[in-house]
Amino acid sequence: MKNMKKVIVALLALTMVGSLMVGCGAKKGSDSGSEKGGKAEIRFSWWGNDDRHKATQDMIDNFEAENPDITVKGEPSGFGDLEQKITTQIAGGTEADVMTLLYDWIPKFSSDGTGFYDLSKIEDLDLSTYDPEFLKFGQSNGIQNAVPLGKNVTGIYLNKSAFDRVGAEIPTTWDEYKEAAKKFPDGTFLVVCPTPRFAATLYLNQKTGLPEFDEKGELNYSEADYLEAMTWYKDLVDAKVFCSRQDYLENVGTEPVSIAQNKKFIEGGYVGVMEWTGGIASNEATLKEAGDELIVAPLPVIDGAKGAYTIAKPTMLLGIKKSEKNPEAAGKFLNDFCNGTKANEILGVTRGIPESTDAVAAVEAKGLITGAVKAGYEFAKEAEVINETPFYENGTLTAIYSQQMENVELGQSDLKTAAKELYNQTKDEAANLAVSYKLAK
Amino acid sequence: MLKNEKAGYLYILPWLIGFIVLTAYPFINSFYISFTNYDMINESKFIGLENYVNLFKDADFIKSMGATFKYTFLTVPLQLAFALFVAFILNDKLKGINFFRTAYYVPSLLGGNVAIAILWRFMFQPDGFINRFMGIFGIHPVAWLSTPGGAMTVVVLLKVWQFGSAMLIFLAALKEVPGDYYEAADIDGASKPRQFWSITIPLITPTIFFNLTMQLVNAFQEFNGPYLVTGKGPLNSTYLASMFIYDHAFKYFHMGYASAASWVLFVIIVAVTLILFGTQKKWVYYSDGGGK
Repeated sequence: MKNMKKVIVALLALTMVGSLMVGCGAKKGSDSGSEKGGKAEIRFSWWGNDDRHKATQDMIDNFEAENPDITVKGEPSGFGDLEQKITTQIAGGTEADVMTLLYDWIPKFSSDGTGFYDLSKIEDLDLSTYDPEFLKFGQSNGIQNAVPLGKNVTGIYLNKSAFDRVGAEIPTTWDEYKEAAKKFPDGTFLVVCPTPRFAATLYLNQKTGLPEFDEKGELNYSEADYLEAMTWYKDLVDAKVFCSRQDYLENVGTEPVSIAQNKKFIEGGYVGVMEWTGGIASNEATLKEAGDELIVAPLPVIDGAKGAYTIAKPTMLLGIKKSEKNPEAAGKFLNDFCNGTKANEILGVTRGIPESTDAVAAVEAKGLITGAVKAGYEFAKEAEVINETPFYENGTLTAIYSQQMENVELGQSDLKTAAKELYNQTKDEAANLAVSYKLAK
Repeated sequence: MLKNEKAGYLYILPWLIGFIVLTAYPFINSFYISFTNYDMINESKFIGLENYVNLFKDADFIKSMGATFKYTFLTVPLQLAFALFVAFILNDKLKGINFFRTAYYVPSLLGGNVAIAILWRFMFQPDGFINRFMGIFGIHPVAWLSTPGGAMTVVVLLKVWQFGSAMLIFLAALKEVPGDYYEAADIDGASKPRQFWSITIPLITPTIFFNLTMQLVNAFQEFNGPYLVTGKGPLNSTYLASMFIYDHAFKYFHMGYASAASWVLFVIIVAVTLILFGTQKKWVYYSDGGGK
């Protein structure tokens, strides 16, 4: 009996230690990018909602059917804590073979261009379907680290039905927005901006004709520019054009998030939204369910503008891990994802409208670009854009705008002090980023 | 004897491994990391006390520590008083008492989960249940989520609402108070409140001390409730130290800086706990004289 006890204890201990060893050794045992019985196996990670997950899995199934020698393991996820997950994976070398990336992850993980696989070395990947200028979004140190999938442009999308109900015309200038706001009930705001940064940088893009930062990470705007933009923004908040920070805190929260599922937006309390064109499909679908119509509004231009500019950046990018063991298989999959006719018919516009000429031809032929999405696509195609650098994606910089506008609106600061803080903090954070991205001179 | 010892060690081995791998190693390692600029991507460099010096110059950190103290000193007394009050009521022999004891514990189980957080946000929105309910009594709506005071009230109430575990411990302590003392007090003509202050409270002070210590330590480390319901809150009013640490560690990947902030918070918690232990001689009555 005593011996039996000992055996059980020893077995339990071994099991425990063994399971830990298995856990610790997971990296070595990972079969990512490996060959199994003559079949290449690759992992593909992406983020999104259920619609995107389903379309992507269907595209993977189609790819596997067309390429029986390659198996693709899908790794879908939500957007929350995504950066944390990817950073941990990259630090531990366990990232997927092919992955969707955010714009600022290119300099963050690959400041010298060696953090991801050099896509120019993959024969099966055809990048001639992209505008060479557009491809630069995915380059670091001149090396093609990722393929930018589509173009995101800032625009204003309005609930036309709500305008019709109060008998207001769709405004085309900021003064007309102020006039239209008077026709809506108290507590209504014409445009909700997930962050004041969108509106303020749109103003400064038009005023200066320059992006917020240059390629070295130097700030293109002065303290006086910021003061002007914040004063303009506050004036429109007071006129009930832009949603006030107080109202945003009450009805949305503290973070910049998509407004598509927001109760106040669905009920018409927010009559429109200033957002990337990539978000139009969700906003349109929500309003459609409520029986309302979403339209892409003409973009107002500020007085004294250097051009009718709007902000542009890539929607997302696709890259391959730097230590890829099976670049041919990963490249073949990436090529199908970016250019494949059948693949893009399946993927549709679940990641916005693709930029590859082959892909866009596939979704257009399938009749998938309709309604507000089509209007948004045409708006993006014709817009005079200013390409923002990856700094634009940085959450800390965005939070500085929100914090300073909040300080002004809740009476903790005046516009002059807030503009000074915004300028100083933005400059400091940009300097930190420039060091981190190895851009500093 | 030696064989028994070996068997004992083998029995605790699974826990020991878990403790070393998941608690002791990260704990010690975080101390080292706090002296580096580790960011998970680039090679880390030893930077001495730079993180600690920068922390005390960082207005966000100072503000988050202020919010943490405010949150702790509001929630702990309120939660303990409420838990004791409910335990006192549930100590009576009422019909269906077991149901009520379970029901009052449920909020502690639900605690800071996402569904509760969303529900809580809806309740405190301008046209939410709380404002509508107050409207019945002619009270004007309160801007709960868009004013610093309102946001702090919301997260404090959420924490106070989770009084179940403290209540259960109080209930067990109340059951230990001998009934003879109350009988003697009744005979001497002591009123019920007088009995509560002069008999019940002194006899349960060890439990009050235990609950107070545990709740203080928990409140200093609170994360879920404020993170899910109010986020940073207006003017960073509900941006607690744990959220500051989380943001720097997992949003900005300033692991060294976040580790330094964790150690500052740890030292503060230890200091507050030691102060509390130092005061127990003056107000905690142990039946065995405090082990002396």
